Order: sequence, then structure tokens, then C-alpha cells
Amino acid sequence: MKIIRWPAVAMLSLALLIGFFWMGHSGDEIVRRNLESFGSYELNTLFKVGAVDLSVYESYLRVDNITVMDPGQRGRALFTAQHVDLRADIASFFERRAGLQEAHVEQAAARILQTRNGRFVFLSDTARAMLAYEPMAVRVRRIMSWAAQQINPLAIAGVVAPYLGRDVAGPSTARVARTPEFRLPPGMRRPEFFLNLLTISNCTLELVPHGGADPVPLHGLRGYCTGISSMPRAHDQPITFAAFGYLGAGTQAWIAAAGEVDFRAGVTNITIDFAFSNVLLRSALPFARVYTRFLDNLNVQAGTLSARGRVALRDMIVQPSIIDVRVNGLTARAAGFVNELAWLNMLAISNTSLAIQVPLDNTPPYVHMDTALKEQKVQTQIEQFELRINVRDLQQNFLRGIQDLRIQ
Amino acid sequence: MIVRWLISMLFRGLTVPRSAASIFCGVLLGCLPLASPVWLCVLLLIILTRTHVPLVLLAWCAGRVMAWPLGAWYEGAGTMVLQAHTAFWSAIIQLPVFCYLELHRARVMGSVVCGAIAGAAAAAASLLAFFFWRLRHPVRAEAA
Repeated sequence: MKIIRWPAVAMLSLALLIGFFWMGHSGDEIVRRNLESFGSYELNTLFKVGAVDLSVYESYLRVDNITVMDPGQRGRALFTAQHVDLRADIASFFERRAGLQEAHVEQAAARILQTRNGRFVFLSDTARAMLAYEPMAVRVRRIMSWAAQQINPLAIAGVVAPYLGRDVAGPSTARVARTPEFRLPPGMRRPEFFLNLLTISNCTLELVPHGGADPVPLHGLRGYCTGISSMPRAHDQPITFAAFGYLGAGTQAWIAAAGEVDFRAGVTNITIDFAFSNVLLRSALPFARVYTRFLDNLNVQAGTLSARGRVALRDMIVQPSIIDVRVNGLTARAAGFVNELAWLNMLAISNTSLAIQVPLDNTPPYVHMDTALKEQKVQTQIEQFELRINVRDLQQNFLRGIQDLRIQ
Repeated sequence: MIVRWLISMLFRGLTVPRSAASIFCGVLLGCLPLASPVWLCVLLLIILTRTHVPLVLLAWCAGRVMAWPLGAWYEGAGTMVLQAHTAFWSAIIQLPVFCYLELHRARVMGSVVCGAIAGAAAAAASLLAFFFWRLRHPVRAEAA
């Protein structure tokens, strides 16, 4: 055919082939450098990557030994991961989107800090003070946009533009990018970054209670998450997740959660089923101390806590449900309720079990322990019980009910 | 002598459809923003098809010269085109591969439309010029 310049086609094909081979051999170092510079810039801390294995042919990227240093504490790692495997979705490439079929994170570790008001955060106050303020969602979206831009083959135009002509206003591509653009109608936009399946295995979260108590490791974490995207409201599937792990070093306490987060209908619906079993009360109490000082006076010496239930939010409104809570082997010696219960001198219980069904709904304080007690949704078996009271501080009719019961 | 040689070099191997296509591509390339994705695509088209390179260069110069005074209109023209058929462009600019062309930017769309119109006009003018020239200089059938 005389329309086509076949030598030019051959040269172009050859250039593409050479480009593929070159990326296969030299791409590792380029990707590693790009990741480190962008990560360090965005996180405003040292972001190190050990090794990168990129395969263009298999659309596969493996990153080893990722370390993010804590900006608030020199020499301490904020996040580490032994391996991160990414497998790209080739079809999304033609739609100018960065799509990942699968991402796998192995042996990751991070610290989660409890703040004074009971929230759990990734960065300490010092680290947050050092970072320029930016909402986390905006920062994450910008990182996803960067990832999408990295796979754009026509980005090479931006590299060659300065050699083709430059004026005082800068390269023409930059001038074009600043001009008005056609916005797609609502509902037609697609996420520019998506991840179909994220799996984690053997990860560790170190939970640090407020007040300087010993951290509690949540280790052996494994699980998955689907439907992650830069535009969850425009994505074609909801976010679903499931996770399982062990709480506390050298214990059999486990924690599991599974759920779904759906932003698609213009409202936010969240459903989370959770369960944990045999969590040592002594390791959980430092976290509870932020919410109530009552437990400090209870002086718990032993016991385990188990619970299971469902938390459902429809349009961010908590739906009524019941949480089953069970405490086994509770040994406590309560004393010093001077302000709360002046009449109580000492209460000692040993090896006691307590099961309670706690209602949960949208009216503060959301978890209604008092309702559970009033409705007698409590079962208890007290083994050894000792109560000493201050008679002078009793009210006049304190024993009236007990007398009516005619207890011998 | 040199001028005649240059002209002969310029028009060597030139056919009517090829000259029209070359003029169209050259003017379009000259109107497009430098190094934009559409610009790269048109450049690839010129390289991979049998366009007449000297004529393309001439037309490209013409396009660049035209873009000097008229470049300010491209953005307005692009906005007008994009806003006139919202549903159509919503579908087009999201299509695979097309989405790389950045046609949603008013400046790019305007320069594509203006460049295509100017290129088509220049190509039509060249065809007409050739037609009238052929009328004055008809090809005589050689006697057998």
C-alpha cells in the first residue's frame, strides 16, 4: 500500500521494542528514584525503598523494604513493609486510569497512637505540627493522581516540550493545562485510580495508649479490602473488607472484623461486623482510661473480655442493634470511690463472669449500658464476693428494698 | 538556477491528493499547541503516512504564522464547541485512547477545530488552484 511509509513504521516499532527492553532493564532504578523522591516530598520525611522489581511484560511491580521515618522522632520508623506486590490492570491504561488488579502487602508494621480525647491517629502531635496542613483525603487523592499520571505515555510530551520551543510564559503544555476545561456532568466521572483487591498478611499494628503505658501489639494481621478508588462515590463497587489478628503478645486473644462501606448512592452506608475474644482486661484498661476514670478505681487484676456485634450506619445514622459483651475470670478489688459512691468502702470479687447485652442506637451516649442493666439483660456468676460499706454515708432508705425481699 | 532546483526539489514526486493531505496536516500541526498529545498524534500521522515533507513544513510555517494573531480565538472557539454538544463530548472524551488527547481542554479543542478548518480550507484552495491551472494547461494526449 502506498499510503504508509513502511520504513518509518518499522523504525517506530523498533523504537518501541527497544523502549520495552530498556524499561525492563533500567526501569527498576527509575521507579525506585521516583518513588523515593515523591514519597519523601509528599510525606515530608525520609521515604526509603530497598529494591524494586518491575516487569512491563507482566505488568507487575514488587517493592521490598519500604521504610517511612517518623518526622516527629528522629531515627524511628513510622511505617515499614517487607514486600509490596502490585499487579496492574492493563485495560484501564487505555482509559487513562491507573488501575490495579491486586496489591499485596506483607509484614508491614506501623504504630497507632491514642490521643488525649480518645482518637487513634497515625502521626504524633509533633509530627503533625511539622507537616503543612492539608486534609488527609486531599493528600491521598493527590498521591493517587500522581500514580495515574506516571503511567501516561504521552507525558513524554512534557519532557520534549522545552526542546521544541519555550517562551516567557513557559512551555505551551503548561499554558494549555491552565486554560478552562470541559467538566463531565455529575455521575459520568470515573476514578482515575482504583485497586480491585488489597490483601495483607502477617502485619503488625502497635497500639500505644495515651499516658505512656506499654503498647499493645495487634499482630498476625491478615485480611483483604476490595473496591478502593480515588472516587468512591463514582466507583462501580462498594468497599468491602475483612481482617483477623491477634491482640497482645503471647496471648490467644483474637480480633476479627468484616464490613462494607458504600458511598455510591449519594449517601454513606457503613456496616461492620466485629468480634473479639479473650482480650486481657489489664491490656485493654489503659485505652479505656481516656474515656472513663471509673475503671481505675475498680483495680482489675485479672479477667478477659469478649464481644461481638454489628454496627450499622445508614446515611451516617447509627441503626439500633445489640452488642453481646462477656467478661470472664474477673478479679477486682475496688476501693476509693470517694466522689462517686461514698458508702462503698471496699468491693472484692474473684473469678467472676458477667454477660451483658448492650443496646446500641443513635442517641448519645450510643452504647447504653444503663439500659441493659435496667432491662436486666445481664447474667452474672459471682464466685467470691466481699463488700464493705461505710454505714454513716448510707441514705436512710438504703436497706428498704433488701428488707422487702426478706433475705435471710 | 538554485531557485529552480529548490522548486524542483520541493515539488518532486508531488501528486494532487498528496499535496492536499500534506497542506492539511501541516496547517493543523502548526495550529496545535506545541508538544500536546494531539500534536504528537498528528506528527506521528505525518511521519507514518506518505505526506510530502517540504510541503508539510511550508504549511506548518503557515499554521504557526496564522496562530500568532488568531491564537487568542482558539480557546473561545473550543469552549463554544464543547458547550454546544455536552452529551456528545461527554461520551467522546471518556473513550479509551481518545481520553489521552486532552480534548476536554478548551484550548486544545479550539486549536483542533480551527486548525482542521484552516487546513481544509488551505487544502481546498490548493485543489482549486491546481484545477484552474490544469484548465489553462490541459494535458494533451500524445499521438499514438
